[in-house]
Amino acid sequence: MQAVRAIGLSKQFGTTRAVDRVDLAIAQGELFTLLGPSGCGKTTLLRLLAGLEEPSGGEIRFGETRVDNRPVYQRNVGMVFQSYALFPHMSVAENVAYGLRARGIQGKELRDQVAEALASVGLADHGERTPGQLSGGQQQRVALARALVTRPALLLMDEPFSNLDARLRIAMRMEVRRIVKEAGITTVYVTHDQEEALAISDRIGVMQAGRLIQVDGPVAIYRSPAHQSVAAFVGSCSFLTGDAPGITLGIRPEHARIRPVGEAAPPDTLLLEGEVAGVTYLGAASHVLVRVPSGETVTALSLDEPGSYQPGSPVRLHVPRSALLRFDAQTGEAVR
Amino acid sequence: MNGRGWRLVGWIALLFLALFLVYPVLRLSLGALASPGLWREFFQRSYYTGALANSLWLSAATTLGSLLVGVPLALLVTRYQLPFRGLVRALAVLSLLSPPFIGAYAWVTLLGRSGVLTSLLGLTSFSIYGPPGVLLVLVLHHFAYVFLLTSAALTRIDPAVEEAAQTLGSSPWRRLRTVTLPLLLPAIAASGLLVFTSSLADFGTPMLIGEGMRTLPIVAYNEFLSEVGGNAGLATVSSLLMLLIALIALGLQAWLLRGRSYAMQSLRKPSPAKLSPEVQVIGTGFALLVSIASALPQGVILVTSFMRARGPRFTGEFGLQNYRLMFDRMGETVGRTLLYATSATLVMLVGGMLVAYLLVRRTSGLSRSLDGLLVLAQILPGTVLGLGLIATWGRQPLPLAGTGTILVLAYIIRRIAYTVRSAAAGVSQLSPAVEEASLALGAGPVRTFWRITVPLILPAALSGAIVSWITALGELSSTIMLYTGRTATISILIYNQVLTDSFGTAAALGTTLIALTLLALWLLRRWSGEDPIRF
Repeated sequence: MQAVRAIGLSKQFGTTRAVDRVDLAIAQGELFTLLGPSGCGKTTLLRLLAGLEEPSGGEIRFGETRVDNRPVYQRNVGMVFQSYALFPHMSVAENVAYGLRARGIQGKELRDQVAEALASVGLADHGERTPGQLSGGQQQRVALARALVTRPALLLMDEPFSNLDARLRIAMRMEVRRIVKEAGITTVYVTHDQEEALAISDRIGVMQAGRLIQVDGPVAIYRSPAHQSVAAFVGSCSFLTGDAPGITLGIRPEHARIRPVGEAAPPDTLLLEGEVAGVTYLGAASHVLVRVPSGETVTALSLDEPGSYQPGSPVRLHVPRSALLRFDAQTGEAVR
Repeated sequence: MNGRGWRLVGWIALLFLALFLVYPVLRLSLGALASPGLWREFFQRSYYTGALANSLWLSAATTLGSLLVGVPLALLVTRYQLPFRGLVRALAVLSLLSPPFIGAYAWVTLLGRSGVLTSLLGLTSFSIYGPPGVLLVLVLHHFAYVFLLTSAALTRIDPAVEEAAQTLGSSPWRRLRTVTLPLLLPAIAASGLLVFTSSLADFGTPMLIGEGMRTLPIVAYNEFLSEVGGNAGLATVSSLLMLLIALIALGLQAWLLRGRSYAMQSLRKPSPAKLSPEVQVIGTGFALLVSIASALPQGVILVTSFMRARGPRFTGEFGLQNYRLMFDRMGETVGRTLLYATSATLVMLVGGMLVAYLLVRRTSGLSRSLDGLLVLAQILPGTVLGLGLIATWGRQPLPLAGTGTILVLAYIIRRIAYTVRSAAAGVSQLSPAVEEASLALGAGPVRTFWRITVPLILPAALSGAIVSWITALGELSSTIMLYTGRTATISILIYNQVLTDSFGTAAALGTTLIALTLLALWLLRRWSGEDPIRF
């Protein structure tokens, strides 16, 4: 069953189309991520689904009900903001109780639900504190509990972890996935962090310039990008003028193997001659930048000892043809 | 509230300002413009042109003097290691807590003909009376505005900007001239305009110690009220000239600040620099001298309120006679003043928060009109407003003359801008996401406004309202045009007591006024945990 659908959804700000005729269907209980560079329209799309922006065209349905003419407070959504947006003048428990009170829930039932929601995010004994007394990660948990306690039809998360440090971000994203999956709540998650999107999502929608250019599972988004810009944005990718006219080749670093000059290539392998143009040490591995005779560069992943490759030394790259990505040089669309 | 609700709020606010600000001023202007003979008479008689000239030089000199004292003081206190910095700030805030005419009267008890210091020091050739004394008292009262506003702007400058100037090879003087002062210009110009319009409209100081010095508010008052030979038309002309001068000053400030709006918020405070010993001694002496002089009137009033007085002379014995007299005869007045000022402040607080929200979050033609009218309300001299209100709402269809309501209305118009500006600062600091979170949780717009927005902007709104309240308590220039025996306020009583040389009860009343404001500030500080007087 489709929990949320957007049909031809658009939002115009002045002369710019922030969201441009987007069609989208999200299944019940799915964790769906909107991924794209800043300014691509992903936050605007999220705010349209929430009801914080009014669409310029198209419709939004929750289940069978059309909701685009309903204000945000009548949509039964939950929202987690980048800035947490906790109410600083209320205790943690009052923050969580706020949405329940707006729905007329009182007394013991209110207290029980608040306690349960706080326990589910591991903050059972923090109810009496004020948001200012909590760490960033704890504040984000409160924001999540506050959004989930009303059992929303749709949970919306707008770059919820971008204010946390890297280590905490990784721990939190796994926890969020566990919590929303346990609650079975349909979730739309906005991020510009491709690694986060790949790690957390059931499906990813990649946006560019207001349009949804690919919707797929994380593996398909990485392995079979529908567009050159998806390949460029998700993971790292080098582009070369192709062996056939009008084709651009895409090569992921892990598929470009560095071989000594003169080594024969196995069958079905693209062979590239070149010289080392630079090395970026990454810790576990290195990125070796190889300049090929056309002047273009290809990044190759190397697990060899640091210092194995000196700028200027000649090398050879082997790329299995099955791993090559092919795009139309004009439109950027994938060619199968 | 949804879009329609907010539009309704905006229209109600606009209607209120139209009825009690625009219409009175417009009616005065149209009436005076319709009779060119009045203007001819005004400009042909030196009695009137002299008042115009006096008002012009007095407000210009007060502004210049306040800037010359206030700006260097702000630089000294915020940027250098100066002893007694906290004391200097506290005294400056204290000096603003009572209206300037109280300062005038306190200086009379010190340096008047039978003043304490006059006889003590055997001064014969010097007295506080006359135009130089008026200027001195006005500067001592007003430089604190410049000092506090400029200090606040100085702490907002990101120290990295000044450090950048230094690393680029600027000497301290060059850095001050090319970076710091230009960044301070908005605050300096804003405080300059405040001082100019406030001293232009000041009625009490020249009246009490001017020795017959005529200024525009005095001429307007005399022409309006004197039983023989008064000409209400000439009162109107004087009033409109005041308004015109204030508008020109406003235009000048806007022209100075064109294209200069710097949004700066520094998280880091620069560490105060060391001064050479000689400069430190001179700087400390200067800071202590001006700040003590500015707050001296409050001290004088406090001390003399406990001294027995015979007319203008204090006998030197202490006692509570002044307070007994005050409560016997004037207890009702104190209660009434509190009632008027507090009712006006409640309206300002509620209306101010609504209008502030409109100005920040719902910008439209409507909100811009409200913004403009608030600027007009802020610079409008009290005499002009009083005259306009009497001319328009003094008789049918809404005969408010002689009622407390007309005073409350005047106080609201005169002082609401403080509350609105302060509440608006609170709204701009409030992230829209907080309100959106409430909406997303299912709370409607009205519930969101009262449960989330109001509690969060209340501290900012209250600190503006408290300033509105303090100034309404001591409001003289519009009150004096509008009061009757039944509606006289503390400031009117003090003014009359001083005119009739009853310095003892005047001191008791003045102390009551200061005590009330300090009490209110203390209560607010305890409640919000913040210093309510923030600039």
